[in-house]
Amino acid sequence: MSKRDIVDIGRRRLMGAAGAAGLVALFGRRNAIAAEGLFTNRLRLPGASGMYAAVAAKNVRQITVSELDFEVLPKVLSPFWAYVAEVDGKRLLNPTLLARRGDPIKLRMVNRLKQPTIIHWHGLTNDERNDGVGHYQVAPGRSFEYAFTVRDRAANYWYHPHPHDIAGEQAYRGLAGLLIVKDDEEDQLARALDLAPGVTDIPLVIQDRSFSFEGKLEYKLSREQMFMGFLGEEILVNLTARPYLDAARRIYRFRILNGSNARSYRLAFAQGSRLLDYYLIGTDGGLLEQPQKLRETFIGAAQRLDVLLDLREASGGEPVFLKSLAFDPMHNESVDEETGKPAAATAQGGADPHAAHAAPGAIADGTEIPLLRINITSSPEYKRQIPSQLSRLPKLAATAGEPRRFTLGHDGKGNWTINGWRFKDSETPVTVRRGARETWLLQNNRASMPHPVHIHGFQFRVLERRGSPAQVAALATRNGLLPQDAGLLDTVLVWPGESVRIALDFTHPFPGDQTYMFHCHNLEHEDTGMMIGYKVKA
Amino acid sequence: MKAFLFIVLFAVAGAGIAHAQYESSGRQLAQAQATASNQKVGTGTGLIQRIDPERGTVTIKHGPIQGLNMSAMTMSFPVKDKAMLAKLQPLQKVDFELSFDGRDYLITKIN
Repeated sequence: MSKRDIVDIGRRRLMGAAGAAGLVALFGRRNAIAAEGLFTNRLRLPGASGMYAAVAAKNVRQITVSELDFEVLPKVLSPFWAYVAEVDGKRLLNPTLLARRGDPIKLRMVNRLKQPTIIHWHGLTNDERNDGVGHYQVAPGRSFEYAFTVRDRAANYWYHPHPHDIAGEQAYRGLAGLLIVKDDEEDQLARALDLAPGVTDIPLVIQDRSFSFEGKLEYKLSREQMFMGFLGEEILVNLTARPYLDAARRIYRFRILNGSNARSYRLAFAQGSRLLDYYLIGTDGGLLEQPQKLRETFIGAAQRLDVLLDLREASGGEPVFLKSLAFDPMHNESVDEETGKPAAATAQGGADPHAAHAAPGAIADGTEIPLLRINITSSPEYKRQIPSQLSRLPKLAATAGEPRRFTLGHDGKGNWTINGWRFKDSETPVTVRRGARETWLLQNNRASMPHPVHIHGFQFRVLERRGSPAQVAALATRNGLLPQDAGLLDTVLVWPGESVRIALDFTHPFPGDQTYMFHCHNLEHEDTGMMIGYKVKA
Repeated sequence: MKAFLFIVLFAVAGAGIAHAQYESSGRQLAQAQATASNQKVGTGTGLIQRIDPERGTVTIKHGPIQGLNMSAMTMSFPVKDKAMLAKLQPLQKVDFELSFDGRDYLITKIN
């Protein structure tokens, strides 16, 4: 075998993603099948110490943002950045913080990185200082005091870095943890289904990563990747490569966070070629009113999906896979805005026509790929059923008059924009009144790519989707809404050509003007300026 | 006469076979000599990407290969013995020895 014959550029990695969903499906499936036998690493779960250890948030007095070495791949130490807490003599990395609604959180963040950082409490209603936006970056060696009350519904929130320009790198190198808020309804659900944290109630943090030839985490961005967002060569779950979970034939709760910098997933549970039903019970902002039966759904970067999987519906002993199904990732940066068709080579408006091919070593966006192998290893007696009613959601109605419009696009020079604006720390181009109810219309250009839009400070409801691409519309129900649109959100995935109307209530208890951010949570987009400040005027 | 012709034909055929054998072994000898003179061995470190037990190959994202003047890249290599693949896993960090005879690469050691 000669060298010229064997230089390996895997087929899945050669595949261009734009408009190639069919090819993705064809070749991706083949790769998925080949990979299914290779899930040999036990899924990392929150334990008493170490990575993701669960701890009451009110008992954490200090989080030290640290550079350390960590075995992401088995037996290979990699430089890694982590939120480190010492509680009762135990060292916790990226601890899973547990709180109840009304709990106070009071802790000091100490920055031991060689660059500024700040923790953003993603999804929580906080004043701007405790929200942790880029205005409050903390220099190396300095500290920052957080003090706030958990005001929001029980839900799966998370915390991650938010310094401007470098959030993508900091999150990639390891900085991310969950904040799980519980309440009486949560307790009731756990009792009804006999769920135990870390055993049958399991967080799943999905992130794609690349490794150097020495097995160390690698974050290198080409110009194209700065434009399209980072895509990795492996997809990890709970920082476990090729993970498996031994499970019983009963109901499991999976609290899923897409912690990837840029990648979206089309999540399904499959046994062989058969897709299993699963039940969406919660979103970014907590439980839905009723469970929604699904076979698949999309999750964009930073979004959370809370799901129940009933393994009694699996047949035989064949393993079940959590996987991302093939989809068209819609890297349509170069299409003609009017027609939605590919633009002539001379009229590409400055967008990079190669953006979809920008990461030759990476798993192409939209590839079908298994994420987690679930082995059914026992069949205990279990007769619980999913409750038909889970919670009550606050009503949020559309307001009269024209919505406030925001257009997502790019400037033809490789920069993503909101209404043509790019982030400037000194500017807050949007002002809203405290206590106002508003409808915002998020319009993504056709010449664009999917953008997971995150609004700080306030959760919102999706009222309507229009112009959804076929693969999204196929999952929709009333008003083009997706199942997760039935819940409270802090991040919404907006597809090219799509318009999403959302309802916001800018009521909060904080005195004075408060400035928050509104941005794309594709972290490379955020870092390169697809973010604006908005002021809530007292 | 028939016996004489048979002996002659046999002798000619035998000579031909012998010649062919000589040529063949000569080529092998020449090849072996060439191989021996061109044989190079290098060592590298890498991360296993894929294992193909049927073809007896392993794909490695590797660093520069010392001794072979090969820069870092991802390549698929055959292994000397398919049994060597049994202990390997995707995403395992490995050190390996790679031989090159002027035409083909072969992994001779990997762990």
